[in-house]
Amino acid sequence: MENSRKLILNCEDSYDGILTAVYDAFNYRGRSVYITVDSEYNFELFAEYVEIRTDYDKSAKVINTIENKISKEALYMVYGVAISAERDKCNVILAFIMSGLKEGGSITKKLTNPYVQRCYDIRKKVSNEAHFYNEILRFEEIAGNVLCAKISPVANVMVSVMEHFTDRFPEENFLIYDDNRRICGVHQRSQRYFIRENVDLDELIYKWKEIRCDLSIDKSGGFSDSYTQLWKVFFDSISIKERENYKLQRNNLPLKYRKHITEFL
Amino acid sequence: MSYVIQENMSIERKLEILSDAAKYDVACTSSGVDRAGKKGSIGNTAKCGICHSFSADGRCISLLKILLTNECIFDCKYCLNRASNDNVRATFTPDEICKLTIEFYRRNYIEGLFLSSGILVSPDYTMGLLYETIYLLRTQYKFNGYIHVKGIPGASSELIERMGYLTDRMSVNLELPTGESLKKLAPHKNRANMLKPITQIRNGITDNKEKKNELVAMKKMHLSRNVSVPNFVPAGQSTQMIIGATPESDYQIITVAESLYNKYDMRRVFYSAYVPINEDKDLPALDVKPPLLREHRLYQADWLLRFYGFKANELLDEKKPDFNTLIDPKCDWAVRHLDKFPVEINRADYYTLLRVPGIGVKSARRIVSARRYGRIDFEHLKKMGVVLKRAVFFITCNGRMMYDIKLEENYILNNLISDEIRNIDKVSGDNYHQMSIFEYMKQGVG
Repeated sequence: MENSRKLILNCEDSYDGILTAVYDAFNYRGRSVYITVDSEYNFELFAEYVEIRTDYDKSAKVINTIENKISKEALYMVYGVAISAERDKCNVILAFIMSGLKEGGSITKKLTNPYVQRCYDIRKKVSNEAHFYNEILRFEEIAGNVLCAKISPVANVMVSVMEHFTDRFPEENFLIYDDNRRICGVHQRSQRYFIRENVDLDELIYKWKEIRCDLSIDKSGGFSDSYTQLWKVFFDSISIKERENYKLQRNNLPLKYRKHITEFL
Repeated sequence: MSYVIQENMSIERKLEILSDAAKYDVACTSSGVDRAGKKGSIGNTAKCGICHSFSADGRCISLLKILLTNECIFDCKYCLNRASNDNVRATFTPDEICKLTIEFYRRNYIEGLFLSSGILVSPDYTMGLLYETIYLLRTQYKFNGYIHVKGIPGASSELIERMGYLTDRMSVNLELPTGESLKKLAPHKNRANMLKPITQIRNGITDNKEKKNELVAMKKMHLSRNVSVPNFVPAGQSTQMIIGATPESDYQIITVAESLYNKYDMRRVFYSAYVPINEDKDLPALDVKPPLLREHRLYQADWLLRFYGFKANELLDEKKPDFNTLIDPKCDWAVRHLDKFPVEINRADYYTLLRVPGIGVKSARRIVSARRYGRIDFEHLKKMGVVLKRAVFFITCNGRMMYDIKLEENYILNNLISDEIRNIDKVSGDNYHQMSIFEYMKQGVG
């Protein structure tokens, strides 16, 4: 009787958190196991809940297994799905890994498998969003040659975005702040970047300016960067009046993404 | 032309004038070359290109598109900057351009620089200034991002070659589709003069590739190490033509484009709908709207030439010299060649699949690889990205059509057009109304 109850593993919404849950799921073989992330507070009746504590050893083991027994491509796929914001992502990952262990490296090509198909769709969505933020992210210069940008992505694309800008600006100091997750990517000149969690950006900037005794900038969050104005001038004058087409502009750059784009502020 | 030196002009005003003057240049692509970032310098490039914003006309903004100067000794009738126009003239210093590029780039506004120029003093002098600017940007400012520079016809071949080693893309504008039109509208320019730098850049790129291949072979045999061949215009060259200022037909235009792709190894040919700026007896009147839909159809045909294996004389001929604006060139072709359809998805080869309206390069590839694992049916096609709305008229899956469809020209054309009206609306920015079958029959399309 006990074994027929639905078992739900509740884990942290992170790559390692989900993989820890996948590891634990294998301890409950023979039962119908589901994984949810703790951001969903929607409990089901008649199901048994188990809280999963993120364990980096366990997730490392799962990563190793995927890489060795399935393929590196499969690992990328799992990562792409894990950072997405799709509700069914954990169960898709679990099903994908299970079939992968059975069928080996060719699993990533079997698009007729609904879970593999779903993995592809989610991963495509995520990588599109990551690329999109490489395009529309805008830095503003705050005191002392530090560049600062805010993004609000649906999926957690911070790593991909930081990789891109670290390669692009090796000699710059910059911060990228995800205001949906309150995490902040930090890059210092000629060093590797790191990501800090639970950050209050305004407080961070204010403190930093205090250290530099540079409080001339208004506290409302605006940085008064002189190139902002120049960019707006360029943005307006580069458009051809006779061809104006706001519908096309909205098609190419939907309004919902314009929250942090300098030229639309 | 006045040589008033405007020392007091602010950088903001200059930027306003010189970007406004550059906006009619179409090419704003940043694609074609992958280059990783370098320690000590700023910038990288991505093969897929990165476009950062979209201006009010819906076109993408990828590069800082500016002129070095809008002063010009030439008097081309279609051009805003022609010598006989009385407008404010401005000139950037090389330092100003570098600073703008770097500061815009650091803020992720742009992917690189697109630098063109009016002709100051002489083509050689202008090319020299351009070279000086780009050299400064690459060396002193250590800019490693994307650079696209216009080649000035008539400049010395040595300058063009040196420029080629610093830039990612070069382009020389053909301006107008034929030599006769050019003679009429741009008395100071001639076709042969333009083809000279184009030929030189093409040869440079080919030589560069050969040298690189040689080096790879040498390295394989362990004959040389730590030697590298510098890149010469790695993202290739492009050109552009103004559409609608002169009486050429679509057939003439795509034939020119085809030969540019074949003979000169062009990466892109851009088409720019003529926007009336100047009043002249040889030009369309000032109230003529730019032919945006025609431009759109030409781009569609351009894709068919480059990626779909079509030839210019398949799409159009002397008897039918212009595209039907109500329908895209591929559908147009398919409807006129119904004897080649329907095509069986599970058997047809790649190039036959490519010719089906609604099937693109990606979906054709997916079909070819997926059918090795199992039979494909209509529901699979949808998932592979095939636009069934268009494709249903031309395909069978396992010997069966999706609906009971007559292979009849008027019936299919009518269905395709009623679907296309919405797209036309998007392209032209006008509000086309839904066309009724009566209007359609009156126009006698097809």
